[in-house]
Amino acid sequence: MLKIIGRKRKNVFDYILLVLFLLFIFTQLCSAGTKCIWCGVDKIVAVGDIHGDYQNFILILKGTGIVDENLNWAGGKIHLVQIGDVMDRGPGAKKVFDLLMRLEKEAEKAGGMVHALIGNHEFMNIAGISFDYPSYVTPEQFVSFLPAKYRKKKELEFKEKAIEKNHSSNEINGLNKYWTQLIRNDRVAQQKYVDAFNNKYGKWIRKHNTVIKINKIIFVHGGISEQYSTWKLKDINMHVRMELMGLKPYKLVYEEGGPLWFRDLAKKDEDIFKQDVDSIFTNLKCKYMVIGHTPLTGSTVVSKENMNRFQGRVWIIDTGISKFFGGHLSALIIKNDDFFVWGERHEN
Amino acid sequence: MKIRFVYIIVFFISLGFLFGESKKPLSEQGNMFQKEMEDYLKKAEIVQVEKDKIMGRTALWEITLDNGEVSRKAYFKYIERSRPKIPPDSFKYEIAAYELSKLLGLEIIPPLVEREIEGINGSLQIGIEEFITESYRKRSGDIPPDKENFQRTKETIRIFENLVYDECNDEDDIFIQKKDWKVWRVDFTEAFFPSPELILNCEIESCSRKLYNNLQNISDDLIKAQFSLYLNKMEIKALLGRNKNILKKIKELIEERGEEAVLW
Repeated sequence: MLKIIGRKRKNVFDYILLVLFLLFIFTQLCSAGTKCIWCGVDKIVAVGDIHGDYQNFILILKGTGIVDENLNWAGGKIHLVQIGDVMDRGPGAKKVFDLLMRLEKEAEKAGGMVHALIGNHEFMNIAGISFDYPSYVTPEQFVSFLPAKYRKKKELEFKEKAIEKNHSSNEINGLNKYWTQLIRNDRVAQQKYVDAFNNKYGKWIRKHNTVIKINKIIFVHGGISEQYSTWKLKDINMHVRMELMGLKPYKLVYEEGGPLWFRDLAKKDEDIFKQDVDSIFTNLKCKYMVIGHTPLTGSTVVSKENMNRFQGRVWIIDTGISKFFGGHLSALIIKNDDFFVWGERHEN
Repeated sequence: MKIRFVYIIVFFISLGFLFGESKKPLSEQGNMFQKEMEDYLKKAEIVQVEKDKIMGRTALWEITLDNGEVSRKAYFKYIERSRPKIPPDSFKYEIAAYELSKLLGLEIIPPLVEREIEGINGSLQIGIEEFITESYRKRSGDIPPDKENFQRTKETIRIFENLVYDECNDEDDIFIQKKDWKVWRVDFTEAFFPSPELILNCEIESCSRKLYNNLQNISDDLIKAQFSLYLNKMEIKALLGRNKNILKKIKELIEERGEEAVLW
């Protein structure tokens, strides 16, 4: 009798778990219908790849009037687009995410919007593959996303080992080396990072878009290839979201021609590939495309001339904003159909 | 006196030939090229390592090599996410593809070796100098001087893409050397998908007799012995399955169109 009751209880528990799981999937998929097209927006400010450089990010936000001195939203009805790749190579990704999360709410209240798009480095951290690349996850970024308890436990371990070896335990370099070792070799620590990151920030990122269209301008991290130019934007966003949730195998998020990795618009010969670009733009029914992902090389001068390709139809806003890439600050400001560049050589 | 002077001159000229011979450039064709290049890639001194010059999913490093006589660029891939890890991407697949191409007597992949750089194990591949991609060639309208040979090389590449199950017809992965129109196929880090089926829309139309024979000579034991370092059991099983399917397909084509129309 007790066995039967026990079995029934177990069955009920299984059903509750199933219902909760389905509810979770449903709520996550509800964001699949997240809006991704806007019209009639007066002013757009687009910022490129930040790569953990919080200081340079706030300099841009202040410089373009998006925030005030206290880092509160001051942009009114402006749409701020951050093109993705907040993470890796620099120390401050968590601070950038925290600021974006707050500004998102403040902008909405003011009638503006913050669009934090998904970049390949966000995918890599959600999937935990950033650790495969030696210079991507910095010790500061690693520590910032670790669960507090685990971080303290590991710090204590380091101090104990340092005392055993008669080394000074408060050497920042020593601790950084210790974190670097964990980043490279400690699978448990890596998993703690990935779980904690996904628990808050990964969840937030997954609710965001990969590609959006504002006033006939496409914004996307890598670019849209001919293959995906025939897709509806909402379908691209939904597929990426499902892949990031583990409901579909990785495809769009890792393909060379996928929206997070595509580089042809930034790199290919403009004369030779003009027809391909024509075809992409016709399929997407857009006038311009703004992309990041491929840092501008050749010239360190941030200017309109250096940032546009294919007769001003493609705009590259990854000017190497983070110190890792030289710290070339910039933002693309779009009013109606006019493009201005805020940056080292001010034009607006 | 005059004769002694002539002897001295002749002696120095001979010395010049002797040293000139030892400084000859690396050969450009055939097995010698592969062997010499592999040797060079393994032994040449690493002069410079540039880690963030080339961006991408494999984040390869540009390496400058020098053996005292020849300086060349090479490319180092170190990402190791063999299946079942996801997304699969590994330098080991690159090595497996190259070794397989050699086994089949093909010279379509730029020579590469396994080498450790800065404590990291990876594949080091020689850089192709002065090339255009097939996608560039098609759009720029460049016509190969020997169309038939060019088409046949592309056909061989398509068979090989089916065999290793790597993306078919990616024109950016086909490099054409400007000086002699030699065709190379690069990037196999995502190859060896564990399916015995051939790739959809990657039709096989013809095959060289040499490749057809070599495909027939591939035995299960040989593949298992030579590739278990780089491929898992499922990947090896699938590779053998695809080899059988390629042979089956070629036999069907021969029955349908006749040997002369299929084999060359």
